[in-house]
Amino acid sequence: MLTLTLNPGFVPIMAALAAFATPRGVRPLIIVGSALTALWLLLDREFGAAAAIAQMGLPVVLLNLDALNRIFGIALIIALIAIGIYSSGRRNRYEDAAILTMAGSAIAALFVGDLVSFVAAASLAGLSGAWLVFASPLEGASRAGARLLIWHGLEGLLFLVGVAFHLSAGAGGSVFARLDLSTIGGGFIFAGLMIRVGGPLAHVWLKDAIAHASPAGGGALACFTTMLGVYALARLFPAEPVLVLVGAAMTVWSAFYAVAEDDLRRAAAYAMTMQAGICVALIGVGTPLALAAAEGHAFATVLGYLALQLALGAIVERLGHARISGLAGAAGALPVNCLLLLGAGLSVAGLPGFASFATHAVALEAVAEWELRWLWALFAIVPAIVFVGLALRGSLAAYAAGHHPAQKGEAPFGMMLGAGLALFLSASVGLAPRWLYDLMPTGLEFQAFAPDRLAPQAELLGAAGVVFLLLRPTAARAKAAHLLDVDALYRGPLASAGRWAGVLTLRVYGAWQDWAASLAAGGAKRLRTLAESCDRPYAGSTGAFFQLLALAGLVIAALVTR
Amino acid sequence: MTLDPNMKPRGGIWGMLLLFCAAALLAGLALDIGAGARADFWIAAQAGAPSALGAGVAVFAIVASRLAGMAHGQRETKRRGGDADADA
Repeated sequence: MLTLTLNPGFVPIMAALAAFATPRGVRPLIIVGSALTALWLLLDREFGAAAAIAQMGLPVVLLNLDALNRIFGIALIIALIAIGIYSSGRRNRYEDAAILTMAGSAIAALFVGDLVSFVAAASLAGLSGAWLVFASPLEGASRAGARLLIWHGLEGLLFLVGVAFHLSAGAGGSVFARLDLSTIGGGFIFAGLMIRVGGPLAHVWLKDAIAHASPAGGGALACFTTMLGVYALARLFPAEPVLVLVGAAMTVWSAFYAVAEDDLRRAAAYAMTMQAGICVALIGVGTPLALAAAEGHAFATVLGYLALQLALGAIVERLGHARISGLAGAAGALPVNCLLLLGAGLSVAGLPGFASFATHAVALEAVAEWELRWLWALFAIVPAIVFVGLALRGSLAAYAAGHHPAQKGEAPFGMMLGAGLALFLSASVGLAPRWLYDLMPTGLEFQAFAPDRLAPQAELLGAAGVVFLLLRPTAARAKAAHLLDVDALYRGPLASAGRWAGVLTLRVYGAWQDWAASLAAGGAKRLRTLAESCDRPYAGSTGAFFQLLALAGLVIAALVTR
Repeated sequence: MTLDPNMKPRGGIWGMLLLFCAAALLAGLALDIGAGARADFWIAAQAGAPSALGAGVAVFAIVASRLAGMAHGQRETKRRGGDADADA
């Protein structure tokens, strides 16, 4: 039997090169084929390190498979398959190559076994994410891509400094294992991971990038970015108490925007940050059950939010936007797409029967085990927030009476198939969660459909829906604008201050250049006059004669005294 | 910023969603209170408490939409005549 020792992530990266040179019809096959090959490489191997080499005295472990990275790897590879099918609905070879590079480097980062390789792969994933946004045809994409590039550049810098400090301290070499947050190296790496995972104040890049990405790009960004950060936190900083507070802050901060944002793609990105917050907090709790819940919830989040972003992307493909204020009548033009949107909304809201419910129940159990009441309450209300913010608001807007001007019919079949596949997988895992529980590193005996888990979820979602629908007439009118967040600071006042400071600096520099030029011209004129006078020292000037005489006297006096 | 209250729902989606949510609420309550098999470690985990949490979330969503509307209104007033898109 053929056995290859190759990091599964390298296959999509190599396929990205092929995607540049292949016609439109072949590229989806390349994406899906590379994902299936990566899946084969992953499932065909036993746990353990392999493919280790040494570079500049440092061990480079290109493949290290265990239960933790296997569950994340399967989720990302499945996501790549769905995105490959989805991508058959449009033509953009640069975007296809960017998706493959981002997916491949994110998957490669999961399976490497040393810090330096992880930083290299994660940085490549970040750069290709920015490339993906640059390749988007939507308005404002280039500026959003530049902002994403700055965020990931900062993240890469923090990683590099952290790794340098870590290696110089000689603390365990470059093994990709638990780090100490109290060390300088560990602190820098932790700060870099806070950007990657969308921690408080650094969460804005995800919604900004997703809102400006193309339909397929939004789905790819939802899968291959923050969940890589969740994996790295689980690997490097498990049971770190500060992560509980960080995760809770991510959840609370994003809740407001998830229910109030007009753009559904932005609202979905905020909701995804809430789910990432749950994973981060569970990693901070750090018990075996909590870590298993974090990994399982990350898996379910990837599937659910992939389906949602792909469904929203299909609507963007046809209507040009996914704003609640402009969705009236969309169900008439895009009935299947709107059904997919409703299904994906219910999926991410943790409706029993979907993967999110099966893993959210484990998360609640993990925090109840230690009687973390405030955290339990926070986790408990997240499905209701997502249900109201995405499923109900989106459906009510799409099915509202209206005649949408862009009556072009449904999105291409490939797009609907990709979104439908992601939704189907989410439902499959949700209906038979034993498969997912068996993948978790910790053996888990858990009955998700026990009445004492099913009933509270039904109550929660039902009550939230009934009260919201009854109070709906008191809600504010929908307006085509998005809410300000932390990024308004650097895109608003700070950007203006930067422009003002730039103009001022240029003016000061220009004035200094003028002054220096006039000073140099004056000096040069005097030097020229002096040089000319030295050329003809006796020319018509008695003063010059006496100067020469005095100079000769000085020379003679010096010689005599010597 | 949430739904436009003046938009008339199409095809009875409002009624269908209300029916769906009410059925889920009643079924959940009946199962929760009737079975009484919960491992309740504090008040928010008692039978029936999730419905209160859900109602609270719905009120939060309405309040958030009002706050967002107010914030947007203030921005609009300040920017009247200027560029309405803060994307640049």
